[in-house]
Amino acid sequence: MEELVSKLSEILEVDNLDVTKKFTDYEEWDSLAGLSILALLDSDYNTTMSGKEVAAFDSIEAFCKEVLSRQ
Amino acid sequence: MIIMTYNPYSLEGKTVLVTGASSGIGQSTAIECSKMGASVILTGRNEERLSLTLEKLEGTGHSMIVANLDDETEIEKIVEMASQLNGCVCNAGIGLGTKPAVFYKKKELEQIFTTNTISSILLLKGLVKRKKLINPSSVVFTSSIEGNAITTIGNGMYGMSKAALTAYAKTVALELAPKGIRCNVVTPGMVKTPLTAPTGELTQEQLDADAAKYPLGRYGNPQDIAWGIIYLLSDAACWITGTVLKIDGGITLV
Ligand SMILES: NC(=O)c1ccc[n+]([C@@H]2O[C@H](COP(=O)([O-])OP(=O)(O)OC[C@H]3O[C@@H](n4cnc5c(N)ncnc54)[C@H](OP(=O)(O)O)[C@@H]3O)[C@@H](O)[C@H]2O)c1
Repeated sequence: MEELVSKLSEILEVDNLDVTKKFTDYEEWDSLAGLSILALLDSDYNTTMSGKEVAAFDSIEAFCKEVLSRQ
Repeated sequence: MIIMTYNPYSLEGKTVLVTGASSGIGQSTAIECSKMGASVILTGRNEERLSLTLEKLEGTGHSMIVANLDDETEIEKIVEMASQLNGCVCNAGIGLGTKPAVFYKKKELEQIFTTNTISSILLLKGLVKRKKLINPSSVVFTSSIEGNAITTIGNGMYGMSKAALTAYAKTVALELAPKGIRCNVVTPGMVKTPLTAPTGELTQEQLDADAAKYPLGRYGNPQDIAWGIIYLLSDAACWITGTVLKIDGGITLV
């Protein structure tokens, strides 16, 4: 989980990512961040999601759990 | 009654090779070329869809060559099988989806350049070397506004491959002018084809709103591009080479 959160922090350029928040709560969330997360899933986690699905998670934590459950 | 005999845009008596003729813009170009009187040689990988295009052509003298342009020996096969040509439309291309630059993979870069850029370069090289393009003749490349007139996040690999194709087309226009071979480029905006079919990411409302941004009020239809290509293939464009014709509903103005 830690590794994924750290990669997400890097993409969103946020130092202490609050995983209880939604992606869309961050003002850094934009189309580039969205595309970067999709590309990260593909390249590092061998899974795919749509941008809509990523944005719809109730929390970043829930997103991470879903991704890791697919590993 | 006036009988129209004067038509510098006609392709009557011309033979035109169209790549990517099994779908979208290439399919429409092949059909429209046949309606303008040309004999068309269709090429693509998917035999079934290529045959469907063949069935839709008007007139006679058409043929098809099933070939994968990613494979140099198959390009050779097209060159070998093609008759003498008055025109060639290098149109086949792929998208590979969107991703930011820091995620590009070498394999993907190689794939997009192979299909979108290198295949057309090798095809034209083969046709010229084997003297399949007569003097005068016309080659048209389907590039894109992406990479040529606009830049959008996530579309870099596609845009680079298309910008490279345009740069190549201009050089080869200069080099082949003495042989009477004109080379021109069309750069379409968003056209409704399987390549751009909605993936479910965007709602119909979002798509409609995007199409409404086009000054001419809609996305393009494949025919809109085909007609531009036909102009460049025809004798009406006999003094045009190395040009880039934007066909984009005005979107690059806004
Ligand atoms: N649609 C747009 O909005 C748009 C905008 C700007 C530029 N363009 C360009 O217009 C061209 C046509 O696009 P389209 O929208 O008509 O797409 P499309 O419907 O997906 O058609 C692409 C064509 O390219 C052929 N093709 C792809 N890879 C090939 C390969 N390795 N070997 C041989 N043929 C191959 C396909 O044939 P098979 O499947 O039979 O192999 C198909 O006939 C492309 O170059 C595209 O980049 C499109």
